[in-house]
Amino acid sequence: MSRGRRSPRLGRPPAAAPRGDRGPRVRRRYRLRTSGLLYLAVTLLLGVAASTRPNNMLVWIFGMMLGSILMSGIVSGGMLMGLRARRLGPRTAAVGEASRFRYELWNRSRLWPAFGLVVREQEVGGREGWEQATASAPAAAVHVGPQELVHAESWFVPDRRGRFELRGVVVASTFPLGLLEKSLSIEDRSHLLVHPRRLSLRRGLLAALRGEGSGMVASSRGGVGEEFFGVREHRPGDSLRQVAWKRSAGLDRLATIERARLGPSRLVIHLNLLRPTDRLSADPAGPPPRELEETAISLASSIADAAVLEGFEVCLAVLGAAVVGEGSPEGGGGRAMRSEAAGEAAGRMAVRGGRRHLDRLQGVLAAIDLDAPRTPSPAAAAWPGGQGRSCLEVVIHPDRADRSLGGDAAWHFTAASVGTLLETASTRAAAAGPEEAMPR
Amino acid sequence: MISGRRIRLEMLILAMLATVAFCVSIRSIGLLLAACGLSLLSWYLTEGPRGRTLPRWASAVLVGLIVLNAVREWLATPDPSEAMAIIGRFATWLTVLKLFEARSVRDDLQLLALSAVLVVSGTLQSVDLLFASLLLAYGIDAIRVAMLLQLAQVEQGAIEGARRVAAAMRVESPRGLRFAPQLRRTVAGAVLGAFLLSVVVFLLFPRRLEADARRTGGFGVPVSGFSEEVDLFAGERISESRREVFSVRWLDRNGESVEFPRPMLLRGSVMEEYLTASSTWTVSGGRRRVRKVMTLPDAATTPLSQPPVEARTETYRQQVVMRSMASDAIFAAWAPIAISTPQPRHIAIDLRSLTMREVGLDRMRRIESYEVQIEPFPAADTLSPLLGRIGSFIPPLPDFPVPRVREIAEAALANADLEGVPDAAAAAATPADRWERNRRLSRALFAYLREGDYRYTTDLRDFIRIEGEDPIVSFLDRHRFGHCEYFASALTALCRSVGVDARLVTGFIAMEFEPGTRQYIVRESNAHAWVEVRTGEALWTAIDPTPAETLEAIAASQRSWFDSWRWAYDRIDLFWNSRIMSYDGVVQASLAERLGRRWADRLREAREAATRSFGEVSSRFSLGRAAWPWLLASVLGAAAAIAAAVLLLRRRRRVRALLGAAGGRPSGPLRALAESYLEAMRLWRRRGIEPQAWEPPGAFVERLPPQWAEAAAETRRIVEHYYGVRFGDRTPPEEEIRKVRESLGRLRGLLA
Repeated sequence: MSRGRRSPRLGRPPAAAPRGDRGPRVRRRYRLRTSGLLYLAVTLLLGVAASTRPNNMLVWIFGMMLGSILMSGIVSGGMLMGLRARRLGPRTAAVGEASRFRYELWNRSRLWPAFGLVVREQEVGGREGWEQATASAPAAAVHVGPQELVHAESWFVPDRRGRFELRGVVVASTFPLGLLEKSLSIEDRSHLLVHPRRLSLRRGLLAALRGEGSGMVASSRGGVGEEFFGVREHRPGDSLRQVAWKRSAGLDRLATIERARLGPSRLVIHLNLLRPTDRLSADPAGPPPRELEETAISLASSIADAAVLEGFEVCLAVLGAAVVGEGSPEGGGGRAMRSEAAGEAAGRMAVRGGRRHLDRLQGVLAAIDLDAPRTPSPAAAAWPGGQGRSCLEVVIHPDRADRSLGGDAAWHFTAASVGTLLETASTRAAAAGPEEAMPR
Repeated sequence: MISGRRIRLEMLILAMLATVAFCVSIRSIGLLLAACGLSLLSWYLTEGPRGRTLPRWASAVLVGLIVLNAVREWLATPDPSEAMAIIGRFATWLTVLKLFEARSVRDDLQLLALSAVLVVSGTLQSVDLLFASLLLAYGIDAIRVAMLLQLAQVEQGAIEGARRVAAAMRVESPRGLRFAPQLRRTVAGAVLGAFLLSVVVFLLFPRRLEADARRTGGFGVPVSGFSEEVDLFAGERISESRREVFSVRWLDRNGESVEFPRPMLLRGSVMEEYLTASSTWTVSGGRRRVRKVMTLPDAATTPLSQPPVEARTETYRQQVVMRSMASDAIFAAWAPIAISTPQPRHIAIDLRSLTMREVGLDRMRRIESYEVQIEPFPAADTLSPLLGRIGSFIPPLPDFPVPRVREIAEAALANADLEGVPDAAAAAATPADRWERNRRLSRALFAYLREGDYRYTTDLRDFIRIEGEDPIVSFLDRHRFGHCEYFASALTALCRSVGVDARLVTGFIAMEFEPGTRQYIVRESNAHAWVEVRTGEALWTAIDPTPAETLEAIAASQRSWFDSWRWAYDRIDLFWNSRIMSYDGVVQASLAERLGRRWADRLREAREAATRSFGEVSSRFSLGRAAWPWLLASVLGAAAAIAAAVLLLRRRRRVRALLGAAGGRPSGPLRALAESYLEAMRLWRRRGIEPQAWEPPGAFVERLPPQWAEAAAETRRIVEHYYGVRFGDRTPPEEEIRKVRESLGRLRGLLA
C-alpha cells in the first residue's frame, strides 16, 4: 500500500513549481449531485413542516440537516483549499497495453486532511484529446494528511496510436456526505505518445530473413575481423602475420594490414504509406483500409522492436505520410528524427541501435498522421540501403507489395499477411523442438 | 482499504438505531423485538460461517409483500395523521429486508436513506426524551457512516474503474500516515459543528407566539396525558406511562405533610362546552373573566383574591415540584386562595372555573415548582373575594345538545329515589332549590353509572365508532366500557340533559403516597377527568364517576421496581420538556430581548469606558481640543505600523523560501538581490507574463516577447546578478546592489 510522506519543511515537493512562481492555474467547480438534491428537498420539506407544525423536534432535525449541509461545505471546501496535484507520467504508452497515469497529490494545508479524493484527467475534447485514445479509470486517494504527499495511479489501455494532449488533472471529492462534488482542475499540460500496438512476432523471424551467417557485418572502423580495411604503419605489438610485405617493400618501414571491425547487423524498414487510404486496394470482406495501414505501422514497430532486442541497428523510413509534432516527448533527438522520418529525406536517417533509438523510432511511428495528405517520396526508390553496407531490408505495405520500393534483396510484407509472421501456439511448439512440443 | 465487513457492521448498527428510534416513537414493543431480532439474525446469516444472502427473486417477492401490507394498512386506516406511521413501518421492514441482501456501497447508501426515512417518520410521532436521545445517537452515527461510505465508494469506484478499463489490474487506494485519527477528528468536528449549527437554527427558527406545543408539548402522543381538551375519539388507548409528572406534598397548618384518605383531584382545566360535530369538550367559547397576579419574589405568598382571604385553620398548602412535565397549567385542588413561586411569575386565574395558568411573555422556561394555599371547603366569604362579583355570577349552563342522552337520563332517574327533589320550576325560581336539585339528581345519575354494568378500561380498540351516533350515547347505550373521560363525559352529559349545572374537569388524580418522603407521586397515567356539579352560587362539588377502586387496582398492577429509579431520567425529562420541547415564540422573544438588552448594556459600558479612558489620556497629556486628531493620528499610525510589519514579514518569508534558508538567515546582500529578483517576477506577472512551472528564470527571460526587449534586458541583468551571488558564492559590492536596484526601478517604469 502506498503511504504518504511528509513534504520538505519549506512546504514544496521536490519537483514543484520553481521559486517565484505562483504555480499552475487552478479552477474550482461545484456540482450538486442527485443525492444532494434529494437531501436539499427533504430539508426544505422538513423546514416547511417545522414552520407549520409546533414540533420542536422537527425544528431540531431541520437544524441538524442544515448544519450538516454547512459542515459538509466547510469540510470539503477546507480540505480542497490547499490541495495540489500533478501528473508524474507516463509520457508514452502502447496500444493494447495497460499503463498507469501516476499522480502526485500534495496537501499544503497545515490543518485540514483531505479524504476521498478521485483523480482523473481533465477532458480536452477534439481530435487531439487523450479521450480519443483511451478510457481511463479514476485514481483514488482515500486520505492525504496535512503537509503530506501521496501518489495515486489510474489504469488505462490505449486503443489508438498517436500523440494526444493532456490538459490537466482534476481532483474531485464528494466527502463528507456526498451531497456536493467539489473539484479542482489543475492545469498540467503535457502530451501522451501512444506507440503502435506491439505484435508478437515469431521467434527467429529476423534470423530467417537474414539467412546464413552470424549476421555481423564489416563496419566502417578498423578492428578485429576478416574483411580488409586498410594499410597503416606498423606499430609495436602488431602481428607479423599482418605485415603487408609487398607494400612494406616500397616503403622504408613496415606496414600492417588492418582488418575491418565487425559491426552489428542492420535493418532498414520502409513503411510504405505513399498511397492515400481511400486508394488502397483492400478486400471488401477483410479489414478496412485504415486498419490495414494501422496494422502496417504496428508491424513496422514490432519488427523494429524485435530487431533492437536482437542487437540490430535499425533505420526507419516512413514513405508518404506526415509525422505530426515531435516524435519523442523529450524533444532534441525527436526533432532530428522527425526530419528523418518525414519520408522526404529518407536517406539522411541515421541507423542506430539501442533502446533509446527504438523509443524515438516508435515515437515517429506513433506520430504518423494518416489523415494528412500523402506526399510522393522520390528518394524512397533510391534508398541507399544502409549507407553502402550490406543490410537487411524490409518493406511494409498496407495492401499489396510494391516491388519498386527497396532493393532487390528487400523483403516485402503486407498488412494482410501479418498473420503469417505472428507467433501462434503451433509456431511456438515448432520452435521449441519435438521434445518440448510433446504433451506432458 | 476500508473493509466491507466493517461497513456492513456500521450499517447494521445504524439501521438498528433507526429502527429502535422509530419503534420507541410509536411505542411498539412488538415491532421493536421483531425488527431487531431479524436484524441480528441477518448478521449471523450474512456474515456467519456460511455467509448466505437472500436471493434476488426472494427479495423482490418480499418487497412486494411489504408494499401490499403498507397499502392494506393505509386502506384500513385512511387517516393522514397515520400516514407517517405507515411509511415508517414500511421503511422498517424494507430496512430489515435490505440487511439480508448482498449489498454494494450503493445499496448501503440506500439503506442509509431508508434509515433516515425511519427517523423522520419517528420525529412526526414523538417528542419523547428517549426518542430524542436515540435520534441524537443516530445523527452522530449517520454522519460517521456517511463519511465512511463516501470513502468506500471512492475505493470501490477506483477498483471497478480499473477492472473495466484494464481487467484484473490490482488497484490500491493510497492513504496518508495518520488516516484513522484524522478521520476520527474530522467526524468529531463535523458532528460538533453540525450540532452547534442545529442549536443556532433551533434558537432562531421563527415560531408562533401562541404555540400549540405549550398545551401538550407537541402533537401525536401527549407528553403528560393531561389535555385541555377532551376529544372522545382521540385515540384507541390512553397513556399508561409510569413516568413521574410531578410530586405533591400536602402540608397542614403546622407544616406537617399529611396523607388523605381519598385520592386528591388536582384541577388543570375545566370544560363546559360540548361540540357534537367533533365529539369534543372544550373550555367555554364565551368571554372569559380572568384576574392576573404577579407572584412575589423569594417564594413569598401571593393572594389570588382581592382583597386577600384570611387564612383559616382548615387550609392546606399544596407543594408541587414538576418532575418531567412542562405546562402552563397550575394544578391545584379546589379551592386555591394563594400561590407562591421561587421567581416572580405572571399567573392568570379564570374566575369562572378557578383554574390557573402561567402567562406573560418575559420568561425563559416553564414553571418548575409552586406552592398553592388551598381551602378544601371554602365558605362564601372566602369565595366571594376570590371570584369577585362577576366570577360568582354564572348563568345556568345550556342543556346537553344530544337528545338521546336526555332519554337515557330520564330512564335512569325514573328508577331512582327522587322523593323531595325540587322540580325544575321550583329550581328556577329559588336558588336553594336549584342547588338541592343539582345535588340530588347528580347523585342519582352518579349511582346509575356506578351501579350499572359500566366497565373501566383504557383499551378502546373495540370501541367502534358508529356513524351518526355520539360517542357518549355509544358509551351509555352500546359499548358500556371506556376510560375516565367517557365516564366523566357521560355523567356531565346526563346531568346537563336534565338541567343540572355540570362541567367536565381534567387534571391529575394523586393517589400514590410515598410514606418515606411523605409526598404523592403523580404519574402520566394519573391524568384524569371528572365532573363538577354546581351546588351553590359559587360552589362546585367534584364527583368522580370513574370507579376509584379500578383505578387503584390498575395503578397497583402497573407498579414495578423501575419506578423508584426513574427519578434521574425524569429530571432530564423535565429539562427536555421545560427547556427544549416547550421552547416557543414566547421564550424566543424573551431570549432575544434579554440578549439584546445585554448587548446594548455591554456596548454602552464599552462606550462609556472608552470615553472615560479618552478623558483620562486627554487630561494626562493636556491635549485639550486637539485630543481627537491626536488620537486618530495615533491609531492610524499604529495601524500603518502593523500593516508594514506584516508586509515585511511576508516579504522576508518569501525571500527565505526562495533561498531555501528555512532555519538560517540569508546574508544582507543576498537578501537584497533576492528581493529584487522576486519583485521583477512580480512585475512581469502583473503584466500577465509569468514563468512556467518548469521554466528557469534564464529561459523565461529568453522567451520574453520582442516588444519588451528593453524590459527583458533589465530583467536579465537582475537575474544574472542574483544568480551570480546565489550560486557563485561571492559577496557583491554595494555598487552592484545599487545597480540592480536601478535596474529594478527602470523595469518598474518600463512595465508600468
